[in-house]
Amino acid sequence: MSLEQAVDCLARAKRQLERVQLAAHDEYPDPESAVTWAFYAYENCVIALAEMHGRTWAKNHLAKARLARAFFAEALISRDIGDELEELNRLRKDVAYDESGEELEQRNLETLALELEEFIDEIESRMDALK
Amino acid sequence: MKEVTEKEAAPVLESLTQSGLSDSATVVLVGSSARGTTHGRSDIDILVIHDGDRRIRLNRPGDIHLQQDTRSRFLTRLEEGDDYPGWALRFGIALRDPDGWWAKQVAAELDNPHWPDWRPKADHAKKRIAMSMDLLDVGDVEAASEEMMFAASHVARAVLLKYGRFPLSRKELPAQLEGISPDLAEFLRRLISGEIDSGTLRSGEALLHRQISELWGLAVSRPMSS
Repeated sequence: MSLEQAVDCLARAKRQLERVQLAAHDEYPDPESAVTWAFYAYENCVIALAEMHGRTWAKNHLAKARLARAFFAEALISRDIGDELEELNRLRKDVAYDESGEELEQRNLETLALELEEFIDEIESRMDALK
Repeated sequence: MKEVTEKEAAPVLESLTQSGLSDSATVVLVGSSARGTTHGRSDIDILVIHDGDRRIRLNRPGDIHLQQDTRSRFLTRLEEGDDYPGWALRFGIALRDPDGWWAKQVAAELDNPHWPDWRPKADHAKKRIAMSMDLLDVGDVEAASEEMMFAASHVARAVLLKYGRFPLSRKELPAQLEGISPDLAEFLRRLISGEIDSGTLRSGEALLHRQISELWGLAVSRPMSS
């Protein structure tokens, strides 16, 4: 278990959240950036949780989504973000290949930013309790 | 390979049945799975082409990267010089072709091949480079590497198209680049293998920008081979 690593990962996720919030701005929405930053932020959250609880994790996106589901099942976090991670992974890959379409247009960016912020806040609270 | 992938693609095929499209939709395996060059992090890339006029909702497991097009849009993209439909026609493996539409398009492409436009690839690479550098600035080297791999792949494809070589799957690009751009080949090889640190990413950024500048400065060449 490395709380120090977890703190670093969460700090990274917070910096990425700021970019999501910027990209989700009403006047200048940038869905491509929003989903990409959100995806990486959520992944850092999963790594932070893994480090907090001394769990091994792999540099594999699907493995991180599975780990997120496991954390929810074990009540280590109150929201199952497994499906969200997989969906964001698909969306940001569409962006990376210049193939994004309706699914990206339909994403509510405000909700995306809000839910990510709440998730980070919860991890931070749980982390503080461990310190 | 086809049998294994059909099993993995079963949720997509089931979705087509539920949508009433199993008799008319074409399903094509594309990307590294079609080339037999998958690695640990590879997705299964599947293209669904249907005769409708709008997108359909399809189930897909996390490791399936699904693209869908209407037939008319697919052909428009091909005419416009998008490399994706051209790639699919050259190297894709049909998993479902109920009415023979796909076989007809493949034959037409063989008779009258389209050569993709390299310029959109170069333009798109710039966005991925910027994203990679932004990720590096927030300290996420792993994510920055991934975005840089997308960027380097776009640049590699642009370079190859400009030099008249049809780009294959990502893992095959470094070998295709040898003799054209050994530095880019080596950088892409390192990105694919995951042997990357922040310093390499910064020097890679400069390399890719240089490659893009050189692309715009080069005289247009004719396709030499596929």
